[in-house]
Amino acid sequence: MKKAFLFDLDGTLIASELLPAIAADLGIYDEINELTQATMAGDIPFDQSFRYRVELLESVPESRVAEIILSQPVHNELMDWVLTNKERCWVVTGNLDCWIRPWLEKYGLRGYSSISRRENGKLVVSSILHKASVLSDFKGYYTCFVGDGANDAEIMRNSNISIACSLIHPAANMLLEIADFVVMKETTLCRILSRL
Amino acid sequence: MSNTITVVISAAGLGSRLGLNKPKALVKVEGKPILSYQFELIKDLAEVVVVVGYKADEVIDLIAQLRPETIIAFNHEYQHSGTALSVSIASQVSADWIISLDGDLIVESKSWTSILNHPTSCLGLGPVVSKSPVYAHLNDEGKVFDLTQDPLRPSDLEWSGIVKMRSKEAKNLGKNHVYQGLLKYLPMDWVEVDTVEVDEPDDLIAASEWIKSKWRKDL
Repeated sequence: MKKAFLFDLDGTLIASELLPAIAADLGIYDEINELTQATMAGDIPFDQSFRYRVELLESVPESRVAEIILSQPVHNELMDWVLTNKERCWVVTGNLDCWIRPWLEKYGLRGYSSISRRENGKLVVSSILHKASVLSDFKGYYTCFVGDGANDAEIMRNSNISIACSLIHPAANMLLEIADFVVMKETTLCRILSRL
Repeated sequence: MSNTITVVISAAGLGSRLGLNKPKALVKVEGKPILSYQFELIKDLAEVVVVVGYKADEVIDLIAQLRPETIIAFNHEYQHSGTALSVSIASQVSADWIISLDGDLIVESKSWTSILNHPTSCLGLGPVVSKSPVYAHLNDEGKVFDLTQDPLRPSDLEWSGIVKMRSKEAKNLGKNHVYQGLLKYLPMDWVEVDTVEVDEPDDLIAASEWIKSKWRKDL
């Protein structure tokens, strides 16, 4: 059976949480960080939190945000593995298409993301990606999902195999009830991926 | 062979007979959790999978402190399944060979080395000490041809809970007791091992004495 490896972006392929990193660059770190922490703890639902965090960034040009994303460190060993296995890998992220498109293009990767539009010059969320919906494109594949956030729970539950990442912070608690594996080091993650 | 071997530690169970409200990996003997003795034993080996279930987050915290490069696998059916399911889950991501170790077992280092160095699959056997032993029966060639818990078929040797085998075979051990899954792979070689198992409250005292007399501090 064909295999499909689906990766979350923040904290998984990219070695940071994107929204706080973007906010730090733009000088609005505290508001966004507080929201991000509360979302990771599961105190605020992802959708609500995400729309509010985008609102805090609505007047920032997409290109500026995309630039900040491109400058973030990646997990090198993991990216090497992904790029060697590009034809079997996809990125599945709740982040906005306009922000991550240059990053995906840089690495030649395909991805699923939330969708945005401009309304009266302001950036607006058209639809938030519910990651599990992506699996309908992978019927007939043996799917493996790798991620770290509470919003990864549903896609993990419905993938054939799932790996929770505690690479830059502990994986969301909920994932420990669902995931097949949890890893704390990149080398360990690459070892599992190569053996599946 | 050491580059192609993965140690699998099954630490998902409740430890209900012990009744200490924690999985046996976290039970302390002479002040240290059982899992830390197991990690000390295997510190020169590159790969270990610990299978967790009951109080997974606490076991994971300990692993993060002692050996963060560990692969942690979940057996979410730990309440209703046996160790065999844990071992088959771990085998999916293991090297060609595994040494499967029950989570409540401490192994003396020379015994461990003899299992590690044995060129083929093998079972670790010892004298009968458990309350419900898995008796091992030998054929004329000195290999183990049967494993049974039937009290009407006792033997002088019991299976300690340690086995070295191919991970491909370990994927098919079933969902119950490992020894039941192993029956289809017999006859198998065996190696004498010195181990202590912490299964019931009385075992804690024996384990303490065992550690004091046998655990090498220079490991």
